Amino acid sequence: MMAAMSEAPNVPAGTSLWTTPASPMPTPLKEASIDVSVSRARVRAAVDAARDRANAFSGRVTEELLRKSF
Amino acid sequence: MRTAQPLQLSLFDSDDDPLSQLRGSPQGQYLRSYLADLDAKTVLVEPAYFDRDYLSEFAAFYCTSAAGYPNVCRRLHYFSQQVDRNAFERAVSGDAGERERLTSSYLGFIVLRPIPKTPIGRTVLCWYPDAAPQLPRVVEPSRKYVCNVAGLALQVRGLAWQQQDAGVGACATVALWSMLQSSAFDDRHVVPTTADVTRAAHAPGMSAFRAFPSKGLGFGQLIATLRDSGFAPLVIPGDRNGAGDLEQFTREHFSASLAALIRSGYPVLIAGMLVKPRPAGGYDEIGRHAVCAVGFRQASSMPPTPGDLDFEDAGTEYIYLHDDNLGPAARFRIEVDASGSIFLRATPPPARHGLLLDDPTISHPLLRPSALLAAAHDDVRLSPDVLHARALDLGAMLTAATGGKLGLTVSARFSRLARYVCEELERVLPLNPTVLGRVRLELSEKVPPMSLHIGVVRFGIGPTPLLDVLYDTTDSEPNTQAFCHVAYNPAMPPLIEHACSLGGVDLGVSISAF
Repeated sequence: MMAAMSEAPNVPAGTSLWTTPASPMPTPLKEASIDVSVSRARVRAAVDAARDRANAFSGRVTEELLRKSF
Repeated sequence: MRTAQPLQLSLFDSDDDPLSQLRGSPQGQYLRSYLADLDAKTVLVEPAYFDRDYLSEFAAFYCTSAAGYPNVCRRLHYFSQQVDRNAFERAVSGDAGERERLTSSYLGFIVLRPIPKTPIGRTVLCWYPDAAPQLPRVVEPSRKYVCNVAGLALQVRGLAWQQQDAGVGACATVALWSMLQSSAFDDRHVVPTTADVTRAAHAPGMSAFRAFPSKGLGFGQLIATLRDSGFAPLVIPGDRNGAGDLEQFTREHFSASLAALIRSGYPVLIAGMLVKPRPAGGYDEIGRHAVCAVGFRQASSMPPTPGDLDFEDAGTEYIYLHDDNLGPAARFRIEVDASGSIFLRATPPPARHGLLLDDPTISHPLLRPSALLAAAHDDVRLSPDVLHARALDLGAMLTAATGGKLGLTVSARFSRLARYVCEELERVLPLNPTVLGRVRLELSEKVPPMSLHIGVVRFGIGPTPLLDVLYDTTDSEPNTQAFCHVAYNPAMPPLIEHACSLGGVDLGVSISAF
């Protein structure tokens, strides 16, 4: 029996950043309040800590890849 | 000279349906199943159709073959309504009701080339209905195709697919050809044929091999072909060194990159290795392969843990591939192996139809992606990788400046500026026309002139948008600047100002959208 290519009707529920409107009656978000005790060094350290993860997004095209046939 | 032949109307999947003669091929089985799920009832056959792509293949290769191939194809049109000769005659005679019944039930077309082993040519079938509009299937590259049969204009929205013939086009050629059909390029060019693609890839100095018959294209040839055709090639290599001879991807990098490109209207050529799992573990490599990603199912967002930055698209589960070994818009699931590399598995959902058909996906091997390639507009000089790296930096600053209280979700895309202002803002600010108007005016009057295409990085908490950062796409990577940012919550402007001053970045003009 062929499993057809139709879409399953029971895909997960939820919404996404590109389908959800911004909040219509916004009040300042508590979680986004500034913590004045955070230093410049701590912010820079947080950026450095994210650098490894960011490095995954800086792939270099190798000569070997360019030569491969598809 | 050829003689005229009448149009033929038959029941779908009957012996008179030419597609039913292709039971022996996986592509034929796939297309029958796809059409059955679309509830196809009738096929209209144009027995003599001159297809631009086949004529180009014919001129490049088949016309000099001793086999004596004809230069004419058949074109099959499918409808979800039963249509007989009388109904069709009424429609082409101007009966508005009958015309509407036919055009609204049109499912798309398949060109059958007179090549015995690889007959399936340009094929455009509509997408099946979207059962989850709150998390839509993202099919931005799809475009409108119009067929004219006896004065009846039949329209279908999709992206062309075809079977590789191994004479004029290999898998990468066909994937590249599908890419360049995208709606994103409607305003600027004529779609090259597969023969054009193969010929361009074998321009002097690009290959030591003959162009035809085609034995596949090197990744470097693919990039050069796009460049020489007036597009900006965006290359995203895998971020992991795997056991084989090709790079591999982590889920986050693959999914975020693929989603950003498709959401921008750019189909993505996925180059990789076909593999079969061994019973005892590990994989046997079968051969290199290329497919074209034409859509994905939007992932949902969960509120992130405080202090974390989540890529919303990393949760993408299903993508839709034009695979010349299988068919158009085949659903594949993104899975992760024990080493952390992803692979793609053909995963069709349960059938809606009752036909007894072999499943071509059962024996379909897994595809382990190693590089992505997209054709962007020539003025887009920025890869999604740059947007994602900027998102990670900025997200780290923002969350740190709150002392780790804030967790963020992020996603990125490219967009024409006009589209962002017209459509994207309306989608995100539908309930507040006053704010919408003010934001649109400030983007026009307060922000220095922006590029035709912009990079949009959207931050939020779960699915709720908090901030868009609009980047220039026309500069070099180190000089890439934000034109402006649009904040959707009153807490964001002071946080951005504070965090950016500590982190030493400039997000351009601040626009309040609340």
